[in-house]
Amino acid sequence: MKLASSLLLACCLFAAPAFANEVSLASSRDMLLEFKLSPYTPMIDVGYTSGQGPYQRVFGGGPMLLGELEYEYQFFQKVGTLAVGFSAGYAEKFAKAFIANTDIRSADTTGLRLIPLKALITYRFDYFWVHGNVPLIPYAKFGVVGMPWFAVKGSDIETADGLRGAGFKVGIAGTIGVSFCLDVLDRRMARDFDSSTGVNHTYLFGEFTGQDLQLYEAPGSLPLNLSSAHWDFGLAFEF
Amino acid sequence: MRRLYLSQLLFLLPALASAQTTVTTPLAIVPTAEPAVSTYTYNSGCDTAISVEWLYTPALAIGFGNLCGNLNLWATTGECGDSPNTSIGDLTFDSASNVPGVQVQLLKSQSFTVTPSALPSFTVTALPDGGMTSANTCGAQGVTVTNKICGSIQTSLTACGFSTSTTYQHATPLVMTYDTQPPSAPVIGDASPQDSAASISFTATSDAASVTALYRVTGTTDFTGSTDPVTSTVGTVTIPNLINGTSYDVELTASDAAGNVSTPSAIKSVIPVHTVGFFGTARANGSTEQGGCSATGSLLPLAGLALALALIRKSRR
Repeated sequence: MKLASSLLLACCLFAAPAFANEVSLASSRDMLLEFKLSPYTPMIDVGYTSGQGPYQRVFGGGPMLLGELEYEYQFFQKVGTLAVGFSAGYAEKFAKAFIANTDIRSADTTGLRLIPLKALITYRFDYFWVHGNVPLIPYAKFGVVGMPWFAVKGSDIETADGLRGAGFKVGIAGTIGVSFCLDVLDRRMARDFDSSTGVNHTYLFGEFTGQDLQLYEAPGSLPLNLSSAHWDFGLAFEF
Repeated sequence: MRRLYLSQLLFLLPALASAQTTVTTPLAIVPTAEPAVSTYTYNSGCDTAISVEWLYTPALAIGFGNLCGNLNLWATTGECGDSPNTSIGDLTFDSASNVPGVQVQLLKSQSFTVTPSALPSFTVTALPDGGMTSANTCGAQGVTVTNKICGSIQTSLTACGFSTSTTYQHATPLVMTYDTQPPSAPVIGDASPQDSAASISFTATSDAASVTALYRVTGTTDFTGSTDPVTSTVGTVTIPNLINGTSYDVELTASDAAGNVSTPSAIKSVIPVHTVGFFGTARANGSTEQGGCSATGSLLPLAGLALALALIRKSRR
């Protein structure tokens, strides 16, 4: 790990001066597109006694695979970059349903489908990348989250106690992360990519997201808690 | 009139011999209506004439050369060869054959009919010693026989009449299978209860084209319910709209491509049960989730974001 960090630092330091005179040749940039994946475990079982949480009991507790696509429009580019954006994602988890009042699994399939939608403000501190070509760019995001959810059994939305297992949760989300600009690995390819497709920079990034979708629930209530704290990893294109 | 769809005659490109509906060769036998098939399986209509037509498409005749001699169309129980072999009982379609190559190029298409009961499998069978004997009866049960509808014409890369450059070009035969032999009964693997439904896994023999489930309330005599056919030889058929807690008897039948139906499988009983999924489990374990949109106050974050955007915009002016 220490060796990897050293190599990355060396890469950044050596790449910076060599790349300094070439950034100005790039086309203008005002948008960013991100593709990211995340092991996503909603906090559904928080508040239940151990072993009684429905997510653990039905799905075994493992994370969902959340895929997200995010678009940002950059409206301020001076000391860092400010952008507004929108993201949409999808995650699902399936298992066999229980025979009522037993722990025996049936032939019916049950699942939880989530579609997280976010409106975001993003700040990327890319001053040292723009002016010094240091390819590490820390950033932070804040936004609101709307999350349609669907609990299904078989091919239909599940109903229980006369209630339909589907809804829409709203909350807030915050993210911190770091991008690594891949342009430093092959500057010629980066220039060609820019001239042919308009993509100024390509980034690998990792980020940590916390989202709270239980802001206004009454004390003592136990609704479906889709809040989470999870890592995302992905690829971003700035153009 | 019942119509049959013949496959193309592929005269130049053997690699395309499996093509069915697209006319990619200069001369083909094609259906007059969809769907087109290169194999035709049936179990009735012995005396019902089936209409087909040959089709010539000169635009694709690159390298095909000249059409020489007459068009041959015939039926056989063996391999097609260059031309009909009447010594083993091949049936020639005289009314459609003997069209000169020039006429083939002019007419471009012409229909002819096939009467199943007149096909060689139902008239004669070649014996090893070269003789012939009576064969199967069209309409009899438990019979599976195959005839091929063949076609050929002579072509020449030079002018017709120079025998050294004249060759027979052949059609991919249309395989007509007369089948009154039903498939074996499918085997039920497991009958699993579901919520107001049942899932029946099965295995059927390879000649089965589809499997159907029949069901009744246990204790009654007739199988009054049935499912849509499942087109698989191994799989699961689901019986919907059952009543939880009621016992049902289930049996399966298999059908082949000709429409023959097997004897029923052994009967299995299943009792649909109420099942609980994720939402039901959450509710049963104390969740107060009501579904629908979360609390009205959830709109506050949206209002906050809108305010932030407005302030940013104002600061830029």
